[in-house]
Amino acid sequence: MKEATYIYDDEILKYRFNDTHPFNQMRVKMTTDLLMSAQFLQKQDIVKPRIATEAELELVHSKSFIDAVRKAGHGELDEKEASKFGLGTNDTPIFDNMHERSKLLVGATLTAVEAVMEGNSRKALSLAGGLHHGFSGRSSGFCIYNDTAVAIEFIRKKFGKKVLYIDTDAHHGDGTQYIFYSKDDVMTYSVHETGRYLFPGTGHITELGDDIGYGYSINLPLDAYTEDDSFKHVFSTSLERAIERFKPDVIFSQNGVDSHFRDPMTHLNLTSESFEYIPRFVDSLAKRYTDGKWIAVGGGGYNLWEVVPRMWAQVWLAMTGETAPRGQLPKEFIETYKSKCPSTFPMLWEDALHDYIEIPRRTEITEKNIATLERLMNHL
Amino acid sequence: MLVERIMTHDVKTLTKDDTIKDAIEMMKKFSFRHIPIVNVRDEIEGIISESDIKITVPESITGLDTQTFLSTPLSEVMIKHPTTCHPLDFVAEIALDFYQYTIGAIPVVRNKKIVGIVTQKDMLNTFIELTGITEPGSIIEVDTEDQTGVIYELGKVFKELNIKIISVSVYNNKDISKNKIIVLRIQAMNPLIAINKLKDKGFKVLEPQ
Repeated sequence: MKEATYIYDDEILKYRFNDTHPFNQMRVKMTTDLLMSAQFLQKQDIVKPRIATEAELELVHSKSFIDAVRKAGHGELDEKEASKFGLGTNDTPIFDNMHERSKLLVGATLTAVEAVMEGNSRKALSLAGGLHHGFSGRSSGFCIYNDTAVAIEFIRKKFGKKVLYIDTDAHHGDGTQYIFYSKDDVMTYSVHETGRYLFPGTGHITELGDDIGYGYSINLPLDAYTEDDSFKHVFSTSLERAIERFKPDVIFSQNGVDSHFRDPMTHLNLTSESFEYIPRFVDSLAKRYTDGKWIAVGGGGYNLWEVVPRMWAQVWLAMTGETAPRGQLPKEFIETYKSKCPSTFPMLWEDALHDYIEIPRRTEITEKNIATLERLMNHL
Repeated sequence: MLVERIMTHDVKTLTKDDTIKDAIEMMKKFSFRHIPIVNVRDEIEGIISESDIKITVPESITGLDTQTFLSTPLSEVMIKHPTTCHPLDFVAEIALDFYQYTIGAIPVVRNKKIVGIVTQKDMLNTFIELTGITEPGSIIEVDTEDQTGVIYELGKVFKELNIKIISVSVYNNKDISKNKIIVLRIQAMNPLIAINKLKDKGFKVLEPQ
C-alpha cells in the first residue's frame, strides 16, 4: 500500500469564474510546483483525477440544480431562473462549461476517496476540492457542487463507513454541515471565525444537529484576530474529544488556509506555525483512530502568492511524515513565480514575521475562546 | 408580520379543576413554562406559569403538606383574565405587551376560542429571523447621517455589483445623535469589493474594517 497519493492535473485550473475572481485554482498548480521542485512530491505519487458521474452528483445535489448548472454553463439559463439557484451572483458568476468543470473537481475528490477506501493508499490529497458552501439545491460562496459532501455520502453509501469531517477553513462549513445535519454516521467538525461579520454567519455552538444527528455537528467559532497559540489550544482540545467519542473509520479534512493573517478575506491571525500544526495533528489522530486513513482536500485561501502554496504544501508534508522545512524555498520555484508576484514574494518556508502586528486584545480573545471551548466541551 | 405566522398552533391546555401536579407534569413532559386554562368550549379562563407554581411553594412550607400542595386545583393559583391577542395582530404590537406587562406568553384567541400561543422564545426567534441569519451572508455596518435617500444610494452600490441584500436593520448612533447605523446582511462571501465601493462613495464603513 502506498503511504500517500496526490491528485492533480492541469485541467482543474479551468474552474475559473472570471479573471478578477478571488477563487483561483492557480494556487493548486503553484503548490504542486513547489512540492515537486523541492522533491517532496514525485511523479509516481500523482494520480490524475477522474470526472464525477451525474449519479454521484445526485448523491447530495437535486436534479433541478444540476440541470440549472449545466444550462447556465451553456448559456441557456435566464437570469431569474439562475438567481433561484444562487448562480450568476457576484460570488458565483456563470462561466462557460461550469457544469463540466465542476464535475472534474468533484471527480478529483472522489479519486482521492477511492485511493484510500479501496486500499491502494493510506492517505490521499486533492487540493482542488473543499467547496464546503455548496448546498444540495443552490450554489453559494464560490462553491457550485459540494465535493466534500458528495465524497462523504459516497463513503457512507458505497463503503458503509463512519466519517469524521474536519473543516479548518476560516468560514463555517455550512453546506456540508446541513447536508449531514440529521445523520449519526457522519460527524462534522468546523472551527472558524465567528459569523458576527464573516460569511456565512452560521456555525454557532448551538448548531448541534437534528434528530438522530443531534450531537454530531460540532462548531467552534473563534473571535476575530485569534492567533496561533489560542487556536492550537482550543482546536486540538475539542477535536481530540470529538474523535474519541465518535470513533470514525476514516477522516476527511477540508484545509482552507484563509485564516492566515495575510489573507484579505477574513480576520483570523494565524501564521505558518498553525498551518504546520493542523495537518500533523490530524495525521496523529488518523494514526491513533483510523489506522492512518485520511483524505484531505483544499478550500479557501485568497492570497495566492504570499500564503497558499507554502501552507497547502504542509498537508502533503504531514501525510508523508516530513517535518516542516525551514529556510529558503527551492530556487526553481522562486525563479518561476517571483517575477509574477505583485507583492513581496516569500522566500522562506516559514512566515517572515517582521511586519506581524501583535494583537493588543490578545488576553481578551484568548479568554473568549476558552469560554467558547468550555461551552462546547459540555456537548462533547 | 402577523401573530399567526409565529404562533404555536397546537396548544396544550388544562382546566381549572386540574391540579398543580398535572401542570408540573405537563410542563416537564413538553418542556414549556406556560399552560392556558380553558373551559369545555376552549374559552380562556386563565393561564398558569412555572413561576406562579414556584411562588405557591412557600405556602407548603407554612403548613400545607406536599400532597395537599400538589393536589391544589389550578383555579386557586392561575392568573385570571390573562392578556390575549388575535392571530391577525401585528407581532410588533404584542411585543409591547410582552415588554409592558413583563409576561412570558400570550394565548392567541379567535371567536373566544384558543387557537395558539406566542412565547418570549417565539419573539426572539422572530428577531433572529429579521436579522437574516438563516441565509448565508456577510455583514457590513455603515455609519451615516440620517437623511433622505441613504438607502437608495446604498442600494445602488449593491445593485451595480449584483449582490443581493438579505436584510437591513437601522438603529440610532448613540454617540452622534444625527447619525444612524445601518446593518446590511448581504449575500456575498467576498464583501471587499462592496466595502471598497461604499468607501469610494463616501460612506463610513464601521465594520469590518
